Amino acid sequence: MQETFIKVNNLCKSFPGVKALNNINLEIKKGEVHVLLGENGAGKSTFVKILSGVYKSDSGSFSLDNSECNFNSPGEAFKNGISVIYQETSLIPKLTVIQNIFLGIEYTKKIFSIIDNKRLLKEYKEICNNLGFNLPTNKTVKTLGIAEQKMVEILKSLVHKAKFIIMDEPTDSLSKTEIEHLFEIIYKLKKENITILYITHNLEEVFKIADRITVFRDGKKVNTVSVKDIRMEDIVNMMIGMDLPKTLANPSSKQNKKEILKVDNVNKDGIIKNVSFSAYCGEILGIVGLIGAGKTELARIIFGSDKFESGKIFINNKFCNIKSPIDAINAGLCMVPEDRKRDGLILKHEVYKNITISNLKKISTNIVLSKKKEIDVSKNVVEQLNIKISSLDQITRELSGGNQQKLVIAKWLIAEPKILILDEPTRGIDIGSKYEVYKIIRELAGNGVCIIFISSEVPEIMNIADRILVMKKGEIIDEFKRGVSQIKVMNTMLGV
Amino acid sequence: MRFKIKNNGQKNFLPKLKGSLIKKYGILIGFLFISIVISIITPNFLTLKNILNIMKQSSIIGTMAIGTTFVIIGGGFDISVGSLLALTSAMVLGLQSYIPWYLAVVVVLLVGAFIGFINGVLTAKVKIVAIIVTLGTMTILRGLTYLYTGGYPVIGTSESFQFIGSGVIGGIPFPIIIWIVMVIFWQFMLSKTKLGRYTLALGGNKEASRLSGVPVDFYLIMTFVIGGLMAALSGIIYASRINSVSPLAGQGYELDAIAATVIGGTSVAGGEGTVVGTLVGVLLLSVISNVFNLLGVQVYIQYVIKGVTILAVVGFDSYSRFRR
Ligand SMILES: Nc1ncnc2c1ncn2[C@@H]1O[C@H](COP(=O)(O)OP(=O)(O)OP(=O)(O)O)[C@@H](O)[C@H]1O
Ligand SMILES: [Mg+2]
Repeated sequence: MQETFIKVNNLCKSFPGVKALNNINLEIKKGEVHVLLGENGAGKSTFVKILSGVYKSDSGSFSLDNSECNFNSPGEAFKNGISVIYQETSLIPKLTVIQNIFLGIEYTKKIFSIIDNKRLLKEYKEICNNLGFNLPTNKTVKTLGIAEQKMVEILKSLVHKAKFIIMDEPTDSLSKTEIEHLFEIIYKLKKENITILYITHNLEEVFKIADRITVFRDGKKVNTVSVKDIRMEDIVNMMIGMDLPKTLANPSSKQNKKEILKVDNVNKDGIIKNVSFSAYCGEILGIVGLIGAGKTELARIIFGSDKFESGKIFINNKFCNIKSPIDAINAGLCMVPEDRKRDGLILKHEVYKNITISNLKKISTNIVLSKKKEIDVSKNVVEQLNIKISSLDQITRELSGGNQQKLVIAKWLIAEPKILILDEPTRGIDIGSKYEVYKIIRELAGNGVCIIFISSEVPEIMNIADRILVMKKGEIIDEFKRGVSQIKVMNTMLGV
Repeated sequence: MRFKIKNNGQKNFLPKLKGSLIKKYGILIGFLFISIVISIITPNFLTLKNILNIMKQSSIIGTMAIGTTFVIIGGGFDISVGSLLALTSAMVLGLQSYIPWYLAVVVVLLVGAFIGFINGVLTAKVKIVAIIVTLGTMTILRGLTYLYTGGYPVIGTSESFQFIGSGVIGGIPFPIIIWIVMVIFWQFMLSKTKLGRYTLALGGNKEASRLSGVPVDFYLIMTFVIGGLMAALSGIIYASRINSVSPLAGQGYELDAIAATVIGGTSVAGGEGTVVGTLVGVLLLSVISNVFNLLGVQVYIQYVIKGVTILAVVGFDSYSRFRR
């Protein structure tokens, strides 16, 4: 497997205000799993977009199997065997699995171009058998789970004769078991001699699947190394240029036990069942559970963005009739939603507009919005969270994924919440920044803010939370204090 | 204590100018360019009289298009404003037989706002697609206009009322003053107040806005109210200028208003746009038809050329945004 498959020479790409890729040289070997690492905004996604024909490079070139590539569109790259699996699926939700997979190469019978379903099915079965997949062919894609959708995308690439599959943070929205499943698929693809470029912020994954890794920093390649020769700490050092502190800031010792939020017996048709809990000022309350356990739904109910059937919510010991996010925000309760693109940001707007939208009062004099205040306020949080932008006027869509996520957090920082619900807030954030986010959350809690931290990653919750609630199938099934063993939480979550 | 000192390179917080300048003022530059070319080939074009004439003719669509701009920025669509112009202009003349003209003006503005409110409620609360809502009200309003006028032209009775459409202050026709003042006022509202910011947010991403605490339904309705209000105001100018309104008045005006809005850089997808841009869009359309009139080009051909202009300007803009 040692022959070079992809060869990248002196690739450069600039956007106004940033040099996203600076003279990248890289070789990817045939049949290897090559993992690409780097901080938020290091240029990973830009690199992928150039390989897959979304962007054109400013200078430099790359070749596939010794033939120079010059793609003008993603379609062209796809036809040449390069396919990309993004965080968000690129499938058509209303079409069935099989329609999606064969989109673009429907075999037709001679007369009237009728689609030859038998042939499609036969071919589909073959590929599935090879890989050991088992998917319902006639379900529409929107009814599938995210992991299954990823499988459909992989199948689609294979049917289209992909030789090179790029995955940009594919595990971002997957649960533990789904991730394991994806890895099995990757092993199988490797056996079929398919080359894979894999991007992630989760370093543990690296050791499970990678053959070699490449680290980018600020648009430059730091190094390419074989996984066998490297330790986790070295990777971190390569990524951020220094070591991470061993432990997090300790939890605030002076916890004043003032109850600020009380959720009493909340129900929603089978999704949320008899949920009751309290949360206190200055506390970080972790809620953990598998994907689909109802964490997000619970958060949305408390925040007033979804309706519920029965139950009451009390804030500061007063009954609070939260019917919409506006009611919640007025009561000092804010939420960082799970899906930043759909629920968190206005992608076509400037960075500063996305930050200040949650609190226009703060930036207006009388009723007139003050540009100066707006810039001051935004600049402040951008620096606090170390968000990488070229200017406050930059369009949000242009930010890297992790920086977009930080922006959603920034937006709620300026709303000065008393209770802050964070739903998977570190999704897509590099490890250096994760620590920054944890630190800020700690600081908030230190100032008496009640934090509800939702995550499906147990180590993360163990690290940050003072108290942990475990959810399963819409119920809170157990509660733990800080210091409980990870195994115990895991077992409770899985129900063993 | 920050454990990580990061070199963020050339991070600056000042607006970047290059690139966005062309994007922002592209239409204006295009407009000026066309105007210069035109003034060279048609000597009559660049006279004060002709320019004031163009602006005066633009003021009705121009005033209406301010409302259209708000509606489209908020993510909606309003094709009922042409019919609303007909109803309000007929009413403002008809009512003069019973009440003083200024009261008639107030009544008609309220009617406009109310119709906008209905459009808004049907869109925001009943959740009918905006284009269908306003297709419905467009038909209803045209019917009401026929009922109100009985099918005959309505003629005004007040002398002073005619000042709105035909008066001149300091050499400048009064409708132009109304239009420009409205443009300034609403541009201010759009870029400097909560109303504007929330409207932009709403059109940019409704769900994200809702989850940021924006009362989305209220502001969606507000955009339609502004649309109705501006349509009524344009109806008043229209009525006052001719002092006689037929039930067929204002047909197709909504399309001109939409075209001007889109030419002026407002995104049909919502969330982006300016009132000043729309002003330029209106002027561009008027200038083109003015030139063809000066050159004596047949009206039928003018339609074709107008359509081509819309596609060319908007197409150029969309294409250059898409390409990078
Ligand atoms: N279309 C664009 N216009 C302007 N700047 C852009 C554009 N796309 C990316 N950038 C900038 O290029 C840099 C690299 O972005 P890229 O998305 O490649 O980062 P990344 O390594 O994928 O980060 P993350 O881990 O956060 O996803 C960032 O500073 C980003 O703001
Ligand atoms: Mg990325």
